[in-house]
Amino acid sequence: MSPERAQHLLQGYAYGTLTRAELQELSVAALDDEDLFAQMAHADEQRQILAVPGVREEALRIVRQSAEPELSWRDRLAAWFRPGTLLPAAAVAMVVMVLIVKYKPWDRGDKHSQTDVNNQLYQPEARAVADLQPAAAGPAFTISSEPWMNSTVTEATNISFRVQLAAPAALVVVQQMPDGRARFVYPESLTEPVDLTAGEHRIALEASPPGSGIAGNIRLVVAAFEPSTDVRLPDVSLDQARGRMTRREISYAVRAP
Amino acid sequence: MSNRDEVIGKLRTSLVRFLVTQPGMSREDSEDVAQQTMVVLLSDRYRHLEEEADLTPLSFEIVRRTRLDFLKRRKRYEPMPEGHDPVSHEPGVDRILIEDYEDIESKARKWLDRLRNLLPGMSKRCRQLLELRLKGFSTDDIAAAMSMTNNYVLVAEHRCRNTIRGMQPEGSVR
Repeated sequence: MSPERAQHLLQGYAYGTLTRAELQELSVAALDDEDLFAQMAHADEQRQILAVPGVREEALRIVRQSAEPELSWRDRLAAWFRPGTLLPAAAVAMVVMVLIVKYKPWDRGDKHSQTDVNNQLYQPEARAVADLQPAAAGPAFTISSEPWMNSTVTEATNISFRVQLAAPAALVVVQQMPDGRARFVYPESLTEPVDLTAGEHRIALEASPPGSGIAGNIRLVVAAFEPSTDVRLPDVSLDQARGRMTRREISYAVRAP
Repeated sequence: MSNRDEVIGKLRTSLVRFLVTQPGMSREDSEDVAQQTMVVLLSDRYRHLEEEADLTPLSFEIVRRTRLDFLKRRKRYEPMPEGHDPVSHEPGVDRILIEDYEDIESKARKWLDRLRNLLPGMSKRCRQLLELRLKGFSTDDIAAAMSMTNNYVLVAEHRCRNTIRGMQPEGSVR
């Protein structure tokens, strides 16, 4: 068994995500490998700790609480002018400029486009959200574009718009791809909360990944659910969420950069 | 010899080798604990279990309880190590041994306390990785969710574990 495979199985064992076949594979290998057996014994302690009722939930709560608070734009701006920040930043910018001029990334064409597309994440949960037809209206909201934007964008551009929420809501944005797949584009990562307070929020997202070669329109579904309904997670029942949900579709025409 | 007997024979050998490396366990102690574990595994209660996937995790659980009882019994009859200071917070072998006396619920409480103390100093990526693991994501799932390769997920997790070890006081990491 390769070290990478062993690590993969040990992590899965510690967190209880192995299939029966994987558990058998790890157990058989551990009985023939002294070190692997010791590692499995240590991983088993983690597994048993997480199996204590309430521990996994409490750990998740601690992880969520420890997330860094979002800085306001004033704090971010002030951080740039702290002593010792500007000079290193200027040096880094200079190096980046030199590298860009030297390697001319604009001459590389679409060499990496397929890799980018393959690395992109398309989730069945996103598809399900895009297809949802709610039984009743959820939190109400309206959408307005940034004043400086119009509905035509270039590829690989950042899109932003404003959402006015009438009540607190769990808000997600799904991008529908031309081939029928879909992906969550807001919030940016799974660890960011989906709940937003009532009022106006600026939603910024990268809708069209670089080099994806997506032609036609960028189609987005903005969906507002009841607070704490994180539909991005596989374990959240869409049947429950489907009861109350508000959705709007927006699209941007893509032109060549 | 049936497949079950063969698996149990291998388990006994592996357990002895593992136990010998644990603090406070001599070769004889390890043989004793492994033997007591085998007696439980061979009882009627677990006779229906035949595969490694069932027997290995079960043996870890039994050996942990057996070893706990063993150490508790021995502690009653043996004097504390020379120079032992019960109120000292200095790390030492005796302290590691005492940690081994704790049941899994106590260990879970301590683990959560450590998590509370260490998480604020961890990177956003480490927290994301831990959150996804706790939610039951496999390495494949995490790789997809974070747009990484499987190997990179494992490397990143390894780095996070090293960071945690570096943040903990000397002697408190097992």
